[in-house]
Amino acid sequence: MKRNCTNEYYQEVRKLLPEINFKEGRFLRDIKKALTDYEKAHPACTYEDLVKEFESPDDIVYNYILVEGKDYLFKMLDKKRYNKHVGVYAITTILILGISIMGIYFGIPMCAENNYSVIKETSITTETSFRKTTCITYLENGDYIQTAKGRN
Amino acid sequence: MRKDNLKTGFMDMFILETLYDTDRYGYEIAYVLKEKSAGYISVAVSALYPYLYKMEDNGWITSYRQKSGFKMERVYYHLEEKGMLELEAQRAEYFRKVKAINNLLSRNVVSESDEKIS
Repeated sequence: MKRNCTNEYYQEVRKLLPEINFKEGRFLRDIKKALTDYEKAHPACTYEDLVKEFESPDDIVYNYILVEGKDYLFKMLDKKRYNKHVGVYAITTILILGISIMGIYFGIPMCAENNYSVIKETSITTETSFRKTTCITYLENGDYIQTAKGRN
Repeated sequence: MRKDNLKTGFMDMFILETLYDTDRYGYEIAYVLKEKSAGYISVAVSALYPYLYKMEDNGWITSYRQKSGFKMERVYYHLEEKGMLELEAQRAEYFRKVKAINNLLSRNVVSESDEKIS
């Protein structure tokens, strides 16, 4: 039970830190060591005892940021803003790609099926000064589509 | 002045001052601060770490590990030459500030004494 209380306290401090790099890692190690030492000296300690001895986890992190100064704070804010933008761009790109893929694989065949059905397809190749191929597609409703391909 | 403001504004000087006589470990620094200030400046050891790291980065203090009992290891902090110079500079700055603040607040002192006389 008491082990959980120091663990809970430590996890709260860890969660509140804006990032964990080398410096924060050292800070967390020192906090953990201090908690362990306190626990050894006071085996029946509670979470409230820890707050009384070490201040609350948010006070610890607030103090840490305060001592690190405004450069640290602005760096953290910039990083957060950058991460937010990266997130928005990533989601937008994934959405666009997803819609495009869905359009290619499902959209075009569905359109073709719904609008008309092909009953006959004829290709006429004319050999003149250039090669020209005319493709006539006869549709069920009596209409036809004529497409010409060729090169000089 | 709020206690928090006092701590953040002068904590470097307080810590350097505790290390002036001898090398001390984290808990000891917090204890000495409390004892010497008659309980007015009470700092949790967890709040001291960021200051100590900053001072180490600045080269004002150095740290070393020393065994103290079975499986117990303490990190002691030692005041360096650069730290001593910084302490003297901060002390001088502090006394200048105190003098300036006293001058600024002297009107209240006069009026209080005037009230007593009358």
